Amino acid sequence: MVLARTETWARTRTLIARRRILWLLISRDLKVKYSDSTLGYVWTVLEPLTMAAVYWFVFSRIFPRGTAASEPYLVFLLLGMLPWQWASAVISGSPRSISGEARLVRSVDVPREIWVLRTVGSKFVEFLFSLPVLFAFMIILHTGANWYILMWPLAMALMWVTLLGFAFILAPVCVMFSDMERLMRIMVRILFYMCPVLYGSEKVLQSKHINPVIKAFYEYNPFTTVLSMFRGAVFRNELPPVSTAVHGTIVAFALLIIGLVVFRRLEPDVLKEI
Amino acid sequence: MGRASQSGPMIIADDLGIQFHVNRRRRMKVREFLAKGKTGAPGGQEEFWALRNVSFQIDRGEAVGIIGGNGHGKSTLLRLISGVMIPDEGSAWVKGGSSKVAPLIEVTGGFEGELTVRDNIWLAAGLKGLSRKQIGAKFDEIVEFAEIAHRLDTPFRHLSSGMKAKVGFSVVTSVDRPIVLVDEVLSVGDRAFKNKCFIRMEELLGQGKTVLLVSHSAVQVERFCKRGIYLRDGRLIDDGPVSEVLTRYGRDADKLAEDDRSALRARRRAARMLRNGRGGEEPDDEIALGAPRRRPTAAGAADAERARREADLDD
Repeated sequence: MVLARTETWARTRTLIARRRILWLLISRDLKVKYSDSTLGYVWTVLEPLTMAAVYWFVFSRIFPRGTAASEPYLVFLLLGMLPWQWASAVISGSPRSISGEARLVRSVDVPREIWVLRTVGSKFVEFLFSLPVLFAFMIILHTGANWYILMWPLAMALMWVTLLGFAFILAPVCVMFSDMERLMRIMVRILFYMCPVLYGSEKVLQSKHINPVIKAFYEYNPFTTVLSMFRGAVFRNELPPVSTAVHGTIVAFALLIIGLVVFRRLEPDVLKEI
Repeated sequence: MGRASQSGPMIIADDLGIQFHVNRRRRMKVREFLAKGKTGAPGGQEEFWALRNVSFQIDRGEAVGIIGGNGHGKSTLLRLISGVMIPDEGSAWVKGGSSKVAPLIEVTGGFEGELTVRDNIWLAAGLKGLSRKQIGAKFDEIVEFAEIAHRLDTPFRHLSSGMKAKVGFSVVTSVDRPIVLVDEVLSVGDRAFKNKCFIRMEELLGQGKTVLLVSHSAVQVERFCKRGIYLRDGRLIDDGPVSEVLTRYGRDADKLAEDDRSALRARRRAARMLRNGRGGEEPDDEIALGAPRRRPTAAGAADAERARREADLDD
């Protein structure tokens, strides 16, 4: 069995022992991102901000939004888009987790999981950096927050599990299949509209007009749970139903386990390939 | 040089084997995967063993030269020992685990073009396993050895490739590990730097480190190593005193070169006859000259030639 317990334990222990390398890689990513341009930080928040502004315009001034989201829509949007940016950056970036660092992977003997952890971690730190912008808008627009904001660490943990699952599958598979990266870009685009980013999950889960298969997709999609948990801190009605949260969590952990199995199966071949 | 301070095996290769696809590209497109099914790798199914049935034991303080032509498994062997590749057969055991190995492979891996040389030294040394304290203690030494003090705040991508290699070599050799794997890096840099590299190699050997050296230069191998391991087509052909192993390699390479020359002569003859027959319209000579290079034996011949040339150059 690939996931033999002793093996998993030994790998986890080496990973913990070499965690310094993970910090190094993450800080290197941030340095590269922020050191060469004084506008570094602006770039991190510019994309979600401008996109949020555009969506706000489209769905507040052009299309009637109805009950699909709560007011103020701009805060509602940012609460979805900032975590989503983390997710989409990981899904579209993880195909290059290993192949993008081929020379390092070929010459430094660290547990290979580190390259995947590094992708998720770097994007996570960027997400944390973007939160002050959200808080600023929450203050300006007087939305306040409720005690469910204390659930955020839980939401972040669930996001980590989900994204690690994705990245552990994508990083090795994309080394073997060179056109996978392009497919992923399309995937991210589809997922963006198929996850409650622009609209609330409540609307979909309660709807009578949506096909049950699609509804099930939302129900079991871990992103639904994560995004709704983030929103719940401001918009209480957005909190995910317990059943949805349980289903999403189960799927997230299943993804992670599948990811670990795939990663270890492909590891020897990936190392030959890069 | 190379005395065994404490004896005992440091590296044990046990029936080591690793398999590649013929074109070394297993990569395929999803659409090929869907069209041909799981087994339909492009370029056919053929696989070959880059290394097979390779067994040896290396003791503490030994300096071993890995000898063989291009593409005969030398670098793959070093990668297996350093743990950055996983064998399909057998095992490569290293005393204390692969964290005891300092691989001088891809020395410029881990450098980021956008960051300054200073930042890069910190990062790369950290990635190769040095703690902050160790880097702090060794930083000046690394800079001095790489002769890079005047460019510390330049973005790394602005350095010339030789300078990059110098920094890489300097960082990698400052990592203090009992086993050092050296893959062709001694040929980087200008002559002065090369000499410094040699001195550092001798220092490493003097400290009783176990060294594995891959080089095409017979002179380099003989200078540093007492023992040689000769690989051909991924098989271990010879393992013994370095001079004997080098002689055998030289004989093989000469023989291949001779085969190749006679093949070339035969082709020229055939081409000349063809040209005479057709009235000399086609520039056959060029074609005939170019073709044998692609024969598998050409690599051996080129190696032998380079080895001889380098031997002349070095001393």
